[in-house]
Formats: sequence, C-alpha cells, structure tokens
Amino acid sequence: MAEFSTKHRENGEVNIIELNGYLDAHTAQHLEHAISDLITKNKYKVVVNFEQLKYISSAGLGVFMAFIETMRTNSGDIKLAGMQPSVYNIFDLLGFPLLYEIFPTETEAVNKFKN
Amino acid sequence: MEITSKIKQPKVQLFLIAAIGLFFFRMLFSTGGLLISFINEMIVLGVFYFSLLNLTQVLSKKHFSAITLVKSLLFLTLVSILLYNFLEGFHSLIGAEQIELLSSNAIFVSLITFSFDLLIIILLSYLFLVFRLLFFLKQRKNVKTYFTAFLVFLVLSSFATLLDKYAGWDFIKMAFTANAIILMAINSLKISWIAFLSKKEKKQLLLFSFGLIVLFGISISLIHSDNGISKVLNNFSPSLNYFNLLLNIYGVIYFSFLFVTTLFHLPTAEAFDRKATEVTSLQILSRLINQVLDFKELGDTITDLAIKVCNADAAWIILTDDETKTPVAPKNIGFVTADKIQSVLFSQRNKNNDKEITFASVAVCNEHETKNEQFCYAASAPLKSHNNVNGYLFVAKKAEVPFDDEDRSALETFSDYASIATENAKLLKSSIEKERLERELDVAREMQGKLLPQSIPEVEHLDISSVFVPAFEVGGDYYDFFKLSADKFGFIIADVSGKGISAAFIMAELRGIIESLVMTFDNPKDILVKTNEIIERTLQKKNFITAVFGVFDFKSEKLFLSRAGHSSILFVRDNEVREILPGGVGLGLTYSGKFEFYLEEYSLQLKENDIFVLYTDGVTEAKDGNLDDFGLPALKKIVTEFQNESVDTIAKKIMTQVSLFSQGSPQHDDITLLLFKWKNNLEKQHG
Repeated sequence: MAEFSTKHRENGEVNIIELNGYLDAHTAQHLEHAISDLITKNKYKVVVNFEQLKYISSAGLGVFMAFIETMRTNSGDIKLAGMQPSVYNIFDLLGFPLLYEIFPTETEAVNKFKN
Repeated sequence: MEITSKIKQPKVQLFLIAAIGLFFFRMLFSTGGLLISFINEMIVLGVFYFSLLNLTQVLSKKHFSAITLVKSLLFLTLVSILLYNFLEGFHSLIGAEQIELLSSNAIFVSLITFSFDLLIIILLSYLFLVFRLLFFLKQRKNVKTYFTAFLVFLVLSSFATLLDKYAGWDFIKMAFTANAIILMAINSLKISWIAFLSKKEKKQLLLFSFGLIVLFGISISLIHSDNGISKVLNNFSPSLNYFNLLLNIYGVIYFSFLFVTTLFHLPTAEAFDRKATEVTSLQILSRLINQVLDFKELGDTITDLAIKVCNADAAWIILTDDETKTPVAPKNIGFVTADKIQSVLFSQRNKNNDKEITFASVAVCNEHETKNEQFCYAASAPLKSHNNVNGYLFVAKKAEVPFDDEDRSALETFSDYASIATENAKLLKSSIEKERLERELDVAREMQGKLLPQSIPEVEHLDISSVFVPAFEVGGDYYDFFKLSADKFGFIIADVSGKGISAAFIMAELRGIIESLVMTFDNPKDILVKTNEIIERTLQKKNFITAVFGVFDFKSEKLFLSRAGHSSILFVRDNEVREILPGGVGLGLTYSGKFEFYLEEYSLQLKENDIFVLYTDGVTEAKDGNLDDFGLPALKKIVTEFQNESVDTIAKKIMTQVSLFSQGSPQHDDITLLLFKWKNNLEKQHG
C-alpha cells in the first residue's frame, strides 16, 4: 500500500493530528504510536483532521476505537473532522457517527472542545 | 619439502642398510689412506642423508611454531651434550690409547662406539633439520639459494678436513669455512618471524636464545678441545665432526643475532600484539557475519571482541528499534551502570552527526557503585547500515587512561564490521520471520476455508449462490446458512476487521457464537445483539466485525434482516436496484445499550424473482493499478444488467468484472459474495 504520514499540531489544549495518504492495516501502527504518544503526555483532547486522507481500511478505523475510551474517561475525546465523502461513507456504514463526533471542518471540532 | 615429495616410501630400511654397511666397512678397513677415509666419509654422508630423509618425513606431518622449534633445539643440544659426556666417560673407561685397537678388534666395544656415532648422526641431522625449518619460517621471498649455498660450503668444508688431514692443505678447508661462516651470518639475519611473536613469546625466546648460546658454546668446547670425545668422533669421521662443529658455530651466531634482535623488538611487542588481536578479532567477526543465525550469539561475540580490540573492560550493544533500550549481550557490566553510562554518552553525542564515535569520561557515574562497576572512560560507536543507525556499540574501561587514537580507529573498524554482521543477522531473522508468517497465513486461510460452508444448501424457495476468494493475508470474511425451522432459513455475512491469523481466529469464534445462538433465536436483531454481548470477551478494543444477519420466512414470504455496520444489501426488483441500509453499528464498536438501540429491524414482503446481493468490502474496494476502487456503482450496474440470469451467472459476471478491474494488482482483502433469488410457490408448482 501507498504511504501514510501524520502531523501533530496544538491549538490551545486541543491536539490536532493530521492524516495524510492511505491508512490501512500496515500503516495503522504509525497512527497508534502518534495517539499513544499523546496519552503518555496526558493529552486527551484530540481532533483528527482527515482532509488529506485518501483511504481508510477497517484496521485504520480500529485505531480510534482502541483509544476513545481512554480519552473519554479522562474527560477528553477523539473528534473526527474534514472527511472526504468516500472516507465518511466508510465511517457512516459502520455506524461511527452514532458513537463519535464527526465534524465537516477541523475548526468546528476544535470549537466543540473549547465550548 | 621437496625431498619427501620425490620419495614417498619409508626410508628406514635405507637408513638401516646404510648404517649396517658403514659398520661392516669400518670393521673391514679400520685404518687406511685417503681413499678409504673418503669412502668412509661418503658412507657417513649417506647415513646422514637417509637419517635426514626419515626425520623430514616424520616432521613434515606436523606444524611447528617458532617457539616449539627453539625448544626442540634446546632439547637437542642438551641431549648431545649429555651424549658427549657419556662418550667421554666411556672413552676414559676403556683407555684413550686403546681406541684405535678396540675399534677394529673387540666387536662389543666397536658396537657401542658405533651406536654412539650413529646416535650423533641422527642428532646432527635432527639439529640440521630444525635449523632449516627455523630458517624457512615466515620467509616469503625465495631465500633457498642462501641456504643451499650455506649447505654446500658446510659440506665442502667438512670434506676438506680430509685434505687437511692427509695432504696438509688446510687453506682449502679454511677458505670453505670462511665462506660458510659468512653465509651463517647472512642466514642468521633471516629471522623476520620474531616479529609475529606475542610479547610473552618474545620474552621466552630471549631466555631460550641465551640458553642456546651457552649450550652451543659448551658443545663447541667439547668437540673442539683435545679430549676423548673429539678423538672418538674424529676417528669415526673427521668430516662429520667438523660439520658438527660448524653447525654449533652456526647455532651460536644464529642465536646471538636472535637474542639481540628480540631484545630490540621487545618494546614494540605490545603494539604488535594489539594489532594482531585486532586482525584476528576482525577475522573471527567476518567469518561470523555469514554464519550466525542466533542474534544473541552474534552479540556475545561482538562484545567479547570489542573488549579485546579496544582495551576495554566492559562492552554492550543497544539496538535502536528496541524501545526499552535494554543492553544486548552485556559483558562485565550491569544494566543499571550501563544505563547511566549510556545517558552520559548520549548527552555528549554530536547532535548534527550521530554517525560518529562519541567518547566521554564517565567517572561521575561511579558514585554509589561497587568497586567492580567503576568505569572511568566510555565510548559509543554507531552501528550503521545504509546511512541508518541501527544501534550502538558501547565500550567502557576502568583504567584512568582515556581511549587513544588507536582505540578509536580500532573501534571504528570494528563497529563497521559489527554493523554488517548485525544487519545480516537482522535480514536473516526477518526473512525467517516472513517465512513463518507465510506459513501462518497458510494455516489461517486453510482454517477459514474449512469454517465456511462446503456446499450450498438446497432450499425450496431460494436460488442461492456464493463466492469466496481469500486474500493472501487472510481477511476474516465469514458467511453461513442456517435452517432455523421448517419455514425459516437464515444466513449471515460478516467481515472481521484486521487481517491474518488474528482475524481468522475471531472469525472462528464468531462462527461458534452464531452456531449456538441460532439454536435458540431466529430473530436477526436478537442474534446480533447477543453476539455483540458475547464477542466482547474475544475482541480487542481495536477490533470489530461488520455483519448482516437475515432470515427468509417461507410462510409469510418475508425477509427479515439487521445490519451491524456492514455494507448495504443490494435488492433488485422490477429492473431497479436499491440499497437496503437499515441502521446499526458494527459488532464490537460499543458494548453499551447503544448497540441494541441503534440496530434496526428491517423486513420486506418478498415478490417473485427478488434478488438480494450481499458482499464484503473486498468486492467494492477491489483496487486497480491506480488504487481506485471497483466501487458500488459498478457492482450495481452488473447486477442490473444480468438480473434475469441465474444467481450463479450474476455471481460469475461480478467476479469476472472485479478481476478484470483489479488485473495486475494484488487482492488485498477477502472477497465474499452471497446472492439469493426468491422463487415463490407458484413458480415451484409450475416447475
């Protein structure tokens, strides 16, 4: 599979992870590391920016499931933002929108944390 | 040895024949002129030669080091001195004046004297041979000429004794002897082999040379002085006696040179030792590079050798891909101390260039340490491959002398070799790992295949078709059919997230759960809700399963189904394809009441020729060369186009299109297709 990379930014106490490329069973580990890094630093408010993500596989979806509980029990959350329709469709089929907060833009997701 | 290669048979017989011949010759011609003496000398030469041949043959099978050769010289000289003393004693016992008389008449005395002579011949030939071996030790250039010339003059001057004795031409002997002695001096310079000795060996050699000079000196005085020994020997063969003398002189000269040279070599011996260790260490390592299967063993060798090469007391390795930074193969150091030293070195490392060796004084780490763990200096060398740093080799020493340039270059060379070795071991390991993984996947694929229905059930009102194509990395697809009751027929299609053997295991678990639930329940929602409750124990947080469970009710002619996060169900009726997409989240996404809350119960009144197509995302997400998806629209199009065909035909058409689309790209996920066509009772009565 093709490449995948993440970028980390901070906006106040909100941590933004930008995804880029193809997130599948092989690249999922990379994202896992990025998120568990935040947990070791006690940062639990995370917005994942999907704007540059082209593809996500089931293993990629699993990464969010692995961490959401930890974030929420520490009064944080993982909020997803800026998905392309094809990516959103996959989340939607699985029923993610019922359990996770998904926003059209990163700003909206960050604002949700701040309010 | 040229001689041995020419004559391969044992020459003990020849030696014995020559010796016996010599004995009888001496019995017959006890005294005589030049001719008799000359013949006598020739036979002596023959005996000497055959003795030499025999010894060469025996010795050529062994490999001698310089020290063992010198030791054997010591032994030989001691034995010969002992022999001379016996001879002296024997001589005085029987009386000097009777020697000539006895040698011809009393057989007993002659036999004993002759045995002594023979022993001396053997000893001399042995002595000569050892000298020869010493001379040719570590000689690269062709120095044979020097030795041959030396030998020629040795023999010539020996025979010239006859001329001296019978004709009084002592100048010939003197000329030859002068030449022989010059050649002795020249040959004594060919002692480059001392350079290759270790310091300890050089010290030994110094002692031995001194001993040998003394011993050869004693020998000379014994042979040369006017006593019984020289009389006996001269009587036997003057040439041999002279040869003996010259050989002993050679010994004195040779070992005097050796003594002095060794003395001068002694100060540099340590440096030489060190280089030698370095070279041998690298040799061992380069041999290991291609052999080691076990990384632990390789690590042990590397640290062992690193200590030797760098004059260190402790060594260990850290691998960069090991996040715990645990020392690998630590030698003479504990984890705690190693960790302290490591952090000192890492803090002093050149940030811009982490590919260089770092040195540091680590005496600060010594507080709270036991005496055994007090290190003063440490160094770390990166283990590089393809410009990546795979790990670090650490060395530490207790002495309060920092690592010098020599240590540095040794460490540099050594870490380069060690990098290659570790890299090789790693590659080997990963290829073994890969093979193991492939086998594991074979097992998983086989397991999955066995857990899926082996045949499609015959059902009155339904035409059923299914396709399953596993991916190389097993995807965890699952489907099955259940005869729930006389008029209820259930089916499931599911896709476990993730891949490989773990997905296959979850799939097996799911199958077990479903199998037992369908015995009690016949409602899709109930079954999926119960499944979600039970599967919580098996699933890791990051795993989930998407599934559709459906039930065809033949009595009410209805289809009931629930969808837990799975792809939509395609439904064809009256030339129109629709997607059935009732609400529901995937199994394992949540274990709260939300799962049940969101899971819709869908039902549909069936009509003749209704077609239902269920699939896993392996179908819609099949990729072409540009990583584009096959997509749902394409699937819908095929289903519409061939809706009037049998379900088997539709399935075949779909598979054909999917494989045409993804031609050349690997299949990355399992492909499962499930098709149903409803046939109502009317049709059946007609049929």
